Amino acid sequence: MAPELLITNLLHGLVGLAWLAGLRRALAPMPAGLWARLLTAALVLPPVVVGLHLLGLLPDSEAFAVLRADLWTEHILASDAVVAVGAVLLVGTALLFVIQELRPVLARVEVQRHAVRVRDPELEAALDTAIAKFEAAGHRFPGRRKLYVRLLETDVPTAAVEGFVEPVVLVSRGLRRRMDSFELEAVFAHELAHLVQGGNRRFFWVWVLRALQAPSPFALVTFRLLVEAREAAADALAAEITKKPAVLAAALLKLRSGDSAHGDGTLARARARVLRQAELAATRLRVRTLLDGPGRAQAAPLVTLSAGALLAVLLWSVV
Amino acid sequence: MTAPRRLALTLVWTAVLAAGLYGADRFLLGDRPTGWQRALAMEAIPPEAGVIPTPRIVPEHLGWPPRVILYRVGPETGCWLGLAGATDDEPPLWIGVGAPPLPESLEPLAGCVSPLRVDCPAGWRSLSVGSGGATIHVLGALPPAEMRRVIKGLEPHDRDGPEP
Repeated sequence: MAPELLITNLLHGLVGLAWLAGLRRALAPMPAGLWARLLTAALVLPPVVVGLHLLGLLPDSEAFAVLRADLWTEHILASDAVVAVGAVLLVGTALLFVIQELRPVLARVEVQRHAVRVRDPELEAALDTAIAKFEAAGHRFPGRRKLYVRLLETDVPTAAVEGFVEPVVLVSRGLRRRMDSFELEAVFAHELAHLVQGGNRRFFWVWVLRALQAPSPFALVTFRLLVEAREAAADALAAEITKKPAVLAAALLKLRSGDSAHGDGTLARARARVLRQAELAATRLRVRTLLDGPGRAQAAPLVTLSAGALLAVLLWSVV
Repeated sequence: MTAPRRLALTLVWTAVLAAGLYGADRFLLGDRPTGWQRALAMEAIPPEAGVIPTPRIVPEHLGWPPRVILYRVGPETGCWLGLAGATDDEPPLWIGVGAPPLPESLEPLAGCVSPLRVDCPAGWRSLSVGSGGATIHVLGALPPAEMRRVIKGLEPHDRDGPEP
């Protein structure tokens, strides 16, 4: 039972990625919001479809099977070599999940939890300006009616939305020191865009379903793409609302260019330098996407829903 | 790009991908075999396999669920369960339904289920009981008393397994 579930999940992940890859080409240039939602669907639907199958809540798809997961399972389990290589791959992927996804999240939460938080009138004014622009564009925020901002007493340049039910926008002193008022407003617009697009509450459930698929290399790839796509979608919406994409781009570049490679020892410094170069490359790509993107953050809800339903049907037929 | 165009392209790409996957699956794995197949758990035996010969009593030294679960969905249905203890290399007890040919792993025991039972290997015994319109065979290298207890407790339509 367990091997068949695992292999079905792997097949779902592979089919989802293939579907996304083709769709991205077919629908180019795709709005960042649509891409993020399709990636979310490709990550969330595999465990949901399998769960509904197990509960008997989905009609039998045996007659419409596009891929026959039970036969694939039999063939894969029949070869010891394939099982051994697969086991190494799956365990390695699960370790990558712990090291590269779980640990950084816990470390970030720890920094945010221990840093002192203070009110800051200038930040509150910048947040109010950004909120007014979102509300003028017809966007509403989930949770409490009034959003709060708190200054984090840390030099680590960071901004984040914290909380599920009553989110609070957190901005670090390190970030604030580097930004002028326009850039600060762009940063707030970006964080508010995350809230409009579902915020932590939605992402928490996505992350739980991602964790359930920890051994799947396809879920790993999809999640990495989703993390980037969420940022790109928030960038696109923030730029659409503030009408100042160049300011947000400048803020992003300023944030990254200020970092320097620290560390004790040659190896640690080299590691920090490599990570910094990778972050710089990712930021440049993000800025290019922001400035040269399709110009619209969201697609029509009908397109998003229909595409998600089609993917669900496709996965339903992998049994 | 307009929403209808996006929708149409999404539909076309999904159909193309589904067709490609279907073709690849059938090309690589062929048609679903109609002979004996191995299941990983009792729950994985499809209802099309017919009568599932689940015993209410199994000898204590043999484990449950069965180590080997074989079923056949058509044109002839059938199901064989191989029970083994922790130290057994091969199941010393087979319980099953289904006309010949038997599964490959039971071929040495084919004589046990023939009407004359002339070629049953040394040390193996064969009993059978009619139930639910099918003949359930019990093949085992076990003492006669244990064999009789197994066959007495056979409940063909109960898939919940033996009583503790």
